[in-house]
Amino acid sequence: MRIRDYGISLGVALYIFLTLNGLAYTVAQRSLLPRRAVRFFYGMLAPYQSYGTNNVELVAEGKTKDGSWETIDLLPYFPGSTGERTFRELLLSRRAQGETATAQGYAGLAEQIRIKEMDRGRSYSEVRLHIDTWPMAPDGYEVLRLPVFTKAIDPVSLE
Amino acid sequence: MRKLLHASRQFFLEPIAPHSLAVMRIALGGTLVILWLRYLPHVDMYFSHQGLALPYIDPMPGSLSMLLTHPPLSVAYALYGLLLIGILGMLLGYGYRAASLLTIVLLVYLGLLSFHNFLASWGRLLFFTTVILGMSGADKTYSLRMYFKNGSWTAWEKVDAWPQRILAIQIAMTYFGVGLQKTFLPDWQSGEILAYAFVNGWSTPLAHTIAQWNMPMWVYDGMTIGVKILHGALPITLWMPRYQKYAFAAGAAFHIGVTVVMGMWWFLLLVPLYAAFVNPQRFVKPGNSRPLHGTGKA
Repeated sequence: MRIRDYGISLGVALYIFLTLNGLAYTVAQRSLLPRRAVRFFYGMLAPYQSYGTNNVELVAEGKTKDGSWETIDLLPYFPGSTGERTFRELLLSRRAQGETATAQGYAGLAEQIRIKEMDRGRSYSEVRLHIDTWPMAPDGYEVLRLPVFTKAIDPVSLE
Repeated sequence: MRKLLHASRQFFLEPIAPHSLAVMRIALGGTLVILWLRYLPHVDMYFSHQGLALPYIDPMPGSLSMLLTHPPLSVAYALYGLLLIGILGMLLGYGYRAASLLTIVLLVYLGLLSFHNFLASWGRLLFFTTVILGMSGADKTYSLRMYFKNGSWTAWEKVDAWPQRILAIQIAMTYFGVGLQKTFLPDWQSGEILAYAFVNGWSTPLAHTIAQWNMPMWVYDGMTIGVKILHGALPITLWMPRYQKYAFAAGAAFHIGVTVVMGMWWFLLLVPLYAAFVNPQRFVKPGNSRPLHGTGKA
């Protein structure tokens, strides 16, 4: 074999090793390598593992001069489909780093929203965030988003 | 042992016709074009300082992380335009290696800048396929490269087998891993997970309409079992020429179903990627094929 062939063989062997580790993690949540090393390969084997029974949506409120709280329209900041918007609003990669990183992420997000809103002529002394959650329904995504069914939960703990 | 080594060397290192890889390249390029054109109206919000900056690493002065500072809108448009140029180069097979490298670098950059919160399994598969195909010589047929070089876009040159084999293994392993998970995961032990797939944030209007038919739970239970059987069978049947057409049809039906119910059309890319399981010689017209060494015209 030529040196190039040895290189390719080594690369193929490494790929197979990483994929088998990803598979082991998929099945037993264990692998020979640390999770960080196999996360990408595990991720290619692991779509759609669980489900929820409630819809979730991030809600921002700004404190006005008179001390009341006003809901801020977040749609312009999170364009795209509802599914993609939800993924982004949950700050999934921060969430994977733990509660502290998630809390810092939401604190930074609230401050950025305050500044962007000020640029658009809407001044708030403070912005707070929560997540609205309401039951899914066959009749449509927002159908049961009514006060009686909707709960505000903490975006970090999701409780 | 020696026989096994010889077989594996032949499997990964033999020179093969590039047609399967070219089909995958065109499918990948087309998918990436459609996927990224969706973001054209939102470049300002996702990639410039006009939107919310949520980079993977917070920029710290004096470090490389400063590259993840959201740029001015004009720079964001320039980078987005470069990405489209790279993807088009891949699709058309023109300046393929440079186009792939440009695409990969920009996908990493935009991923760290904004898309890390949306990095799901399909995103990883898409990126992995881009990297492997970028190294494969998938532009050695059905490409502008071959048109300019040989006067025919169907002219072809041999390529190494390993990129095609790796992509085939990856697709099979993805189905295998998903099938294993669905067998053991508590949430996949009844049809409830699929019933809720028709009414969640991803669900299409058609899915909501179907949900309103109020089908009994055994229908969803049956669908769940069907999905498990399919994911168990595909990693084997995709490799078997005798059953391939049925495996392709079943896989296509499944991904069309996912598109219709959840709007996740990008998984449809896996269907043309099944070309990885096809002997590339089958793409070459019978009687007009050339030996696998040297340049030929299909």
